Amino acid sequence: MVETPYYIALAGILFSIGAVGFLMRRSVIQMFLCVELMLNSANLVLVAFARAWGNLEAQTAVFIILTLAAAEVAIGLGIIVAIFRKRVSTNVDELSSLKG
Amino acid sequence: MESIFYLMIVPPLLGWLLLIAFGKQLPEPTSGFVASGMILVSFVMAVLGFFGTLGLAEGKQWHVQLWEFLPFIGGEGKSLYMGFALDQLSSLMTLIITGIGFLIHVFAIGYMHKDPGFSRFFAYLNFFVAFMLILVLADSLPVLFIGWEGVGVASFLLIGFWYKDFNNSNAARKAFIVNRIGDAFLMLGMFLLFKEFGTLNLHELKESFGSVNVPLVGQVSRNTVAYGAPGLELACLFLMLGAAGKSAQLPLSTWLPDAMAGPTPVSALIHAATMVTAGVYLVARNSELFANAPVASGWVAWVGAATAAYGAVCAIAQTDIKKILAYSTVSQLGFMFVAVGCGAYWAGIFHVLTHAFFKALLFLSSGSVIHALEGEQDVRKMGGLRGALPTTHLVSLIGTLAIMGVPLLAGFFSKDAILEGTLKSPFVGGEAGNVLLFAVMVIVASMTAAYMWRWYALVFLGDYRGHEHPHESGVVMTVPLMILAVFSVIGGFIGLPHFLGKNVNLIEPYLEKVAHNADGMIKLEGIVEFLPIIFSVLAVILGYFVTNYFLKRDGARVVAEIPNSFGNASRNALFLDKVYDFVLGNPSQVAALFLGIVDKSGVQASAQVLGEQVGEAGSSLSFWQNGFARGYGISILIGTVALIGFLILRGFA
Repeated sequence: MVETPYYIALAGILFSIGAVGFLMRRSVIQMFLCVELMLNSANLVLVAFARAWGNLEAQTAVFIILTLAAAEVAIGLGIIVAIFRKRVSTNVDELSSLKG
Repeated sequence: MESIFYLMIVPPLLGWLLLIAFGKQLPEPTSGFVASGMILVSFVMAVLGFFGTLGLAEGKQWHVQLWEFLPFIGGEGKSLYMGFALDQLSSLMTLIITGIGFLIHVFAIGYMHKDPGFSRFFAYLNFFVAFMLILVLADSLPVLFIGWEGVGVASFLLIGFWYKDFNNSNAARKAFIVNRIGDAFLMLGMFLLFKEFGTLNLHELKESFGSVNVPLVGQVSRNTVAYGAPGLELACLFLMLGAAGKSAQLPLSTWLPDAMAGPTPVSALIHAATMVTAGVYLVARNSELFANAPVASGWVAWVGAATAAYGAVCAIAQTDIKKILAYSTVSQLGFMFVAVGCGAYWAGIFHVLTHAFFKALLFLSSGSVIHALEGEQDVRKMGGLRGALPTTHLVSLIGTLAIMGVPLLAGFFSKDAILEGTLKSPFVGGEAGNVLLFAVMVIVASMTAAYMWRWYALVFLGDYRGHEHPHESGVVMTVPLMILAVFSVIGGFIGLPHFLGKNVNLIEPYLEKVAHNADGMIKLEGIVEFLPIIFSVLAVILGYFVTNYFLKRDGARVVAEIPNSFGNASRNALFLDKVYDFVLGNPSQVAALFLGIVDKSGVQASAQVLGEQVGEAGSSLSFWQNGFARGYGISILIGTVALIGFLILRGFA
């Protein structure tokens, strides 16, 4: 059986990849995937600790998060497609017209 | 028996709702017929109620209690109740309101012919009648106040009926605002009465002075207030000021002449026959309070005398056919105030009744004249109309003679009763006060005869001075005039003077059951008993001859103008409006100007500076909002790390 710290370490690595990717990438879709990666690393932490404590509540929370994430992905991708139709580009740096 | 209240008040309310909602769909005469029909129903009910009250014993009334509101506002057992009551006094008022109201409604069908606001006019009239009925049928002061305000609104709406003319809407506003001043005092009076007596029910207030303690609703522990107690005096003075606002007494009289901007039927109904007499009704209704407040009663009498003199002086040189009548109304209301101030409450109400007949008649006649002359209101351009308008001329003559106080006509008897009251009153400052008040009122009566004869002569006698082609009005207008004329002749016979016998006076014993004469009335004996009647006849003769003398000497054109300083002062209503402008208008305009500058340079400027400063602070941070998603990501990351770092360092607790 794999020890809990490994899961945490993996989650940390995934989160870092996601965070760095979100900051470095320019394509909206890639940034979006990075966000998903961070989300899932958090899910992994939840499940790992749930198993360590023998508590199922966190696991049910993960299911809820997964369904929410699915909905969010649908909306997010919808927005991205809409932007792409309008701008013919997924470069996030070009989408800076909402500045203050 | 309760249903009589509903059957009286609901029809005009219903008429108002109908005409407001569907008035535009109804063809012209129909809405007039609907409105008149509603008033006719109320009138029938009022007549039934009147016959009922004939057999009503002293201190008894028909009463219906609707609901309790503001429970326990004055402590345990001291709530305010909504309800209606009918007794002799209110019954007589309902007869005046619905009877004369009906005639004026019918008249208005002809007068308002082809007016674009035809059904709106009748809706307002019905609204007015409904609230006037609420006013006189109220069983407590708050309910009376509801009616009081309702008729104020109706008056406002109808004065400004032709609102497209700026002058008319200004006159409406003036009436409304001046009335509010009176209303504020009326409310103060109510508060004070509630403090003193613990009730605002009119019957209970009255009974507070009687020996029998008959609580009408609930077990109310009432305070008894002594004769002339300061709180009672003050409350009555407040009530008087409230009444002065509604009844156009000095110093709140300036709105009534301007109120003539409304259509003539409105002037007849609201500003002569009914609403303006509400103040007199208020005092008579609270006769027991005023009879126990000698100082306040004295004030009522003297204010009334001053107003009567003021109105008469102003009426003498007016050139507008309706303004003459308006100032005459102010003067006659002064007469009524004198009566109720003197403690002769029945005489005041008697004059309300007779005045309602002949003043409504005179206003409607002048409406008929104005109608015939296509809207001309200037008496300088009238004259000689007796040939062209025979019916109107005849009824106007009757009305004029009645208000002048020619013997055996309505005004003669009621004026005589008031003059008698001035001699008998215990409130007006002893014997000297009695004589002085009597002298003032005789002089005013003489002036009444003078200006009314001038009115009649300028309109109907001599040669026509205008350029229109006058024509007599239709039947729908002349029949109400004739009915009112009949009552102006016979209306006075219900109040014959005392020396004719014990039981010849019908109205006094009828009203005595509600509002008996004040205690301590002086008994007149010997020749003194005949003084009022002798002097009132002399006054009429004098007034008539003075006017006739000037008409003969100067001719109608000069009498219409009165081109001297007295005429100028009278035409300008003794400059009372100018005084108001000087004392209140101009200072408040200056104050407003000053406050405007303070607002612009102080308040507004500082607010602007504050706003600009906040805006600047905001824009200095706005570079952060650069629109790059990456930047926001870094912000979130740094923030999260900082937060977690802080928590770790602090040690999560």
